[in-house]
Amino acid sequence: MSNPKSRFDFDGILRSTQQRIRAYIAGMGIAAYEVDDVAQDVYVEFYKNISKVPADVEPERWLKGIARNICLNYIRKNARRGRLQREAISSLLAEAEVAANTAGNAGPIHSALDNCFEKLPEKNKQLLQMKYQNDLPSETIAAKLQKTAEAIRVSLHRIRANLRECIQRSQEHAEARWR
Amino acid sequence: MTFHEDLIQRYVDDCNGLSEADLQTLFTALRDDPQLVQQLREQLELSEVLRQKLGIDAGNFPAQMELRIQDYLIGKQRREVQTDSLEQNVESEIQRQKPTPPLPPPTQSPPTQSPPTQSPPTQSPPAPTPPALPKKSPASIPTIAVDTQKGKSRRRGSFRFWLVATLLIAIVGYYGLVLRGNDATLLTATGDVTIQRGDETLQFLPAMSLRSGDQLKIGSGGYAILQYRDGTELKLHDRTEIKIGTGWGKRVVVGEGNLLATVSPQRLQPGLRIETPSATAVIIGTELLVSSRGEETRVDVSQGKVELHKNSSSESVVLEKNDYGVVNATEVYKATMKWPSNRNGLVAATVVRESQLQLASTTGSQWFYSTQSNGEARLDPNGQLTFGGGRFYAPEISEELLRACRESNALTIECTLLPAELMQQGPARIVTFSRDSHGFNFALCHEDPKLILKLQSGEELRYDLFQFADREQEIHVVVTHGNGETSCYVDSKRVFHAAAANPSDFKNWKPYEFVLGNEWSVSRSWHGSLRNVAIYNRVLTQSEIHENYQQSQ
Repeated sequence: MSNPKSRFDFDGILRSTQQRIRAYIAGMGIAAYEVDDVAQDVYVEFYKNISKVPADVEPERWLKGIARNICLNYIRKNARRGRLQREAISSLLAEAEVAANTAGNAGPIHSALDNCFEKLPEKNKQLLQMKYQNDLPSETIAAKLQKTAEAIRVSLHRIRANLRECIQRSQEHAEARWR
Repeated sequence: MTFHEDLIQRYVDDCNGLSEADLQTLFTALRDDPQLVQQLREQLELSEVLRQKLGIDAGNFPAQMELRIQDYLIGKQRREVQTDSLEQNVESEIQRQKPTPPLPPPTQSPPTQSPPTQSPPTQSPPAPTPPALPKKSPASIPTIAVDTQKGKSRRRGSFRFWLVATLLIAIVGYYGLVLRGNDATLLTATGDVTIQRGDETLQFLPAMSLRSGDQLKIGSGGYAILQYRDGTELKLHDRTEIKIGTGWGKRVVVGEGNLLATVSPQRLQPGLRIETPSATAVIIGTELLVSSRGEETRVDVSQGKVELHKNSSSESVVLEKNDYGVVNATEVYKATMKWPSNRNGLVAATVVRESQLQLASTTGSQWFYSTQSNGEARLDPNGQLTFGGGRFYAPEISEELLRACRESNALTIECTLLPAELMQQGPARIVTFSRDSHGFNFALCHEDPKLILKLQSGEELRYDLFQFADREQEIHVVVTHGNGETSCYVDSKRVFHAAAANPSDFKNWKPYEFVLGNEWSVSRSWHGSLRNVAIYNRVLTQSEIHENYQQSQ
């Protein structure tokens, strides 16, 4: 992507990066309902200094740098309890992202997700819909399904892990086709 | 599953939900095991990606960002106008002082650039120095004074000419936009609507233009929709009086009544100003409900951000989504009402205030109505009502409920409930506006294992809406009726729909009593728990129902 110098470039960068930047912010340990607010702060900061982004730096990399600082500041200011621990965990998570990038895992996962989601068993899809579409807490889902909240969290964890594997396989397959 | 895995899953589920000790344990585990960090990061990211894919409003981010950038640009433009005028004053002062010797050089050199509010990314190369731009901050003023020396004056003279010319064009364009922005069109006017222009009373014509100073009076049962060039829309409810304000920008003066505003982002213009006798709301781009009652004004914000100012003092509050602010003779205050965020046409909604059950209303002459209880009917601090033979009732709201619903011939009943028994008899009354078994306007009841609706709408209607199957799990119920059609939604999914032969008609409604958990004058007690009860005098849309459902979880 070319170095952004104008509002027009900004719109293009916003549209092409926002999903990954929001995922990056969530990956820093920002709660789901706070992710979009923090992401807005990140893009405003980027917009303000759009002319300062060096030509040889990918805008997404620059955005992630801003996001990292804003997330740490956000936790510092807003964590209701365990501020120091939250901040320390976020720092560890930020390092993990760097490693993931080096390993080449930061590819576009959204299109792969669509395919993988469709392959899930119906009851797993239903569970994800209750969690992410209806925005229900695990305790409420557990009560609906007559299970414990812990069991729901374990199920969600496994489904996400399986999706992750499926997405990775899809990406590797796509890369192999272009070699 | 190990303890650490459990912590990770709880952290992914709600990272704000862990105790300090749990966070400490999690941190130690993560520090000692990089693979665990990687696993946590992947789970968090994938969780967000799933939210983006499945979440109802998660796809709106670019549009939200557009608004946010516009807000930033408006703020920046205002700051620039202020510093430009300061700079011009300084230039005039320099011209006036030209015959005098040059000013001494500044004792402190100006900053080359304002400090960034956000430090650049640590892993990125340092940002190149930005190109030199004419400084607009007050800190650059001494530089202008030094530059008046010989040798630079010609170049600066040309620069000033272009600066002044650009400023003039910008100002003319800006005020042109602002003036045009105040053109309003009266799209629709139904019922008793009077349009006054000076001494003349105008006849309504579809899409007629309104001028500054025009007054609109909406009588009982009427309504009108006003639209500006930029798409900003004002819905004027019945018994409302407004005047199109004079002066710059969009201004509306509300004498009395209710107005629902959906405001398009105000790009280069000052925000829409809605003034009442006691308060002024300045809106940049949002949806809000303004209600004016004598000396008191209330603003309910559904989206965006609004500044609410008291006209007679400098007091103000900033309102955000779900907030409401009240200005009266003695104070300005704001409060948050998380449920329901849809308050247009809200006749009554249960809230807990000062440990009492009250009914909030945006259509009534009061913001809150008191309730009473008798028999086995309890309120807990979270607003949960538990019934075991008793009732809550609200004599004060009955008149407003009758008026509001008769005028609209439309109704929505919303509540979250958990029956204590699946089989109940009577039918047992859950939410009712009635007197006894024979006299009712509406009654949401429980009979056998079914949820039923009894309603007077031109004829006596009775519908079996839903069959209870579970007394362990709370359900969110919304029943709507309008244009002869009745629908029922459980947990935001439609489970029932029926169309009557005749259109909705509430003119036969009587001044009965609004009661929860029982009938008014005879015993038809319902056993169970109830919370978040709301009555609207309109049909909520499916997306509004979903929003209320989510908020009531």
